[in-house]
Amino acid sequence: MTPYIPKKIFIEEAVKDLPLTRTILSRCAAVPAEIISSARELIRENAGKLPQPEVLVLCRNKGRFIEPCPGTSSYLCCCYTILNTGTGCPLACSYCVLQAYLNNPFITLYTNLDELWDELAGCGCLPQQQTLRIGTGEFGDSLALEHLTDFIPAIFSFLSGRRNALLELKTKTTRIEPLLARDYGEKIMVSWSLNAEEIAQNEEHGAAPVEDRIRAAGRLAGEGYRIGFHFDPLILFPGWEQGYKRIVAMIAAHVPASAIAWVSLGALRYMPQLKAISRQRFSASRIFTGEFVPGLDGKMRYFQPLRIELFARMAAWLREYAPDIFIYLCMESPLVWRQALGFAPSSNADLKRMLDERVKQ
Amino acid sequence: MLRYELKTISVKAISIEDRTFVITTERNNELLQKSIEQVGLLYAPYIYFDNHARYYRIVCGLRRINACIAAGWREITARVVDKCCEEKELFLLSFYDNLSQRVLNPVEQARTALRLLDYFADGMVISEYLPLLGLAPTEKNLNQLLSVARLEPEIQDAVVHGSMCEAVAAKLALLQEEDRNALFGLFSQVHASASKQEEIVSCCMDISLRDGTTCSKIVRDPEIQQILAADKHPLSQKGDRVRALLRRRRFPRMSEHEERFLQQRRKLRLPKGVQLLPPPSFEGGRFRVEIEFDSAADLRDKAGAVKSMAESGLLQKMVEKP
Repeated sequence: MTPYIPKKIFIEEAVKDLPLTRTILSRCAAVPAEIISSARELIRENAGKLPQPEVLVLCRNKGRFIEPCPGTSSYLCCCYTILNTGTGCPLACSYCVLQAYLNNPFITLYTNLDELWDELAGCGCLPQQQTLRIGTGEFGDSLALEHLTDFIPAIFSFLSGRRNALLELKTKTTRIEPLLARDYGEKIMVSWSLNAEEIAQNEEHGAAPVEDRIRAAGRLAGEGYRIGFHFDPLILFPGWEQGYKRIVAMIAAHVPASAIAWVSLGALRYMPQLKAISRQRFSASRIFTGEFVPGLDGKMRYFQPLRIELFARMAAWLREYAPDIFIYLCMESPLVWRQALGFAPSSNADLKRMLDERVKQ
Repeated sequence: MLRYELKTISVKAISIEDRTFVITTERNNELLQKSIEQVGLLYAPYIYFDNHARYYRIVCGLRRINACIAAGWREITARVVDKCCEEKELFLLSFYDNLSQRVLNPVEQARTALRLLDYFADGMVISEYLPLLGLAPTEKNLNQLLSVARLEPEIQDAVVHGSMCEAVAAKLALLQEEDRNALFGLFSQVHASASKQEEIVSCCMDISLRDGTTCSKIVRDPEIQQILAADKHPLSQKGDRVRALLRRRRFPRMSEHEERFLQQRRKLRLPKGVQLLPPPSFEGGRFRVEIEFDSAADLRDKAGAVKSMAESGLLQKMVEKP
């Protein structure tokens, strides 16, 4: 995987002298850059266009850096806290929800980190028994732009003095160099988004091969990091059973079960408009030809019995490898939890509590 | 401001075939002809002399000129636009003239968008001109218009006459010619609302991608041909049958599940006026019972039937393993 370097950079006037802006520009010295008065205006003019990851916008986040995962009333949510350092991703996954969710075709990084630290400091006063699980993987890949930003050491210094805070980095890359030979493990865990190799090869363009991701996880586990795996989105395809079973076997071969904090399972779900957008970019993709029906939250989901079967099989294979592994479902109903996993949290808070306990172990 | 001169011109000197600036899809208008016969031409068309082609091109007023010709006129008074005018200005004149008089139909909108792109960048067409056409300024809307503009005339006619909606036509435009014609041919043999047409096209596109086949092969399938050939069924029923068949192929597991649910529901032998309804698309686990009654005694009877159903093992099986 070649590290991401944009082909064009727009810099909002207000952030041109900020330290992170300068760091990024120094690492993209050969890239044409243009100062603009308002990133919002640039984004507005390009709203609705297909993603253009070759363009990087550096600007000030005028909104909040930290948001609770919006969840939805009909399905259980793990109450993850989103740390929004930017939007967009240089990887090109055909199923990526950001294609339809964001009205901004560019990769955008917020460089006003001082305001981020101030906001994060305000979240530090949680009761003793609660944990702040935050993550940067909601609107992009947590490690894909690290070579430009050096965000990890910065956030580690911030978190290291704070009790009950854990940053979960989510990635499909193998860019773990910034984490190696460091003692970040107490405050930072790394999770890999995994899929069957058939899906990874055909749908996750630009991502690392799945086996490489798992090997990278094994390497970090060897350095004492807690590891997470997110099988999300699970996708049905002819031969899916063997495809996913093989990945579980790879995990068993490379990552000790004791290092795995959790494994989440989520089936492909999407806003209805994503299908047409993705088809324009990835016309050969067959993933949207599955049996999708409107879910209770308006997103398209696999027909419920198919999801239950998918989750139940995955859980069985994972438990075969590690009987005590903690598996949770992402945005599913208690009914699906019970039928697929044999239990269901009583509420979002109950699921949050279960994950918080895993963090403390 | 455009400069023009009022002149009386022989209709033979005007090309009604040249559609450089013409947006309208309407070829004849009897009402307009009657009006012209009664009170004359109230509003002189704009024309432009093309030195190279040696004829007058119609900038705006095709229907008026056609009506004059149909009324037997040999000459008409027209506004002849100054030769120095640029093509872009002439097209904009045609565009605003049309816009000031009526709402453009989807094919006219599509033709307009296609021509505007000859003169302006995409972004400008989206932000400035789509709102004038009554459309939201989005790339998606522009792409849909362009798809419609490039369709075969027969399909465009179907859009103009309302037998096919613009969204379905735009979907057909994504297909290879053979597939497009197969589906268009199918719609000429059945009656289906816009949403049903859209569902049929989507099903065919998804099945073809999933199974590595083509829409034309799907349409040629003997089962579909059999439905189309059945003379005794009304066209709307044929449309519903084709749609149901394609839906079963597109969603095999869900169709099987639905069928099983219906079979089990029949076994519950609920009285008329009591219905057990599954969750929409079987998503979630919330079933509903609907009772229709016309007296307290009727409700008591039906409530008794509902109570018996609640105690049956079959219902438990149906709702607990949805």
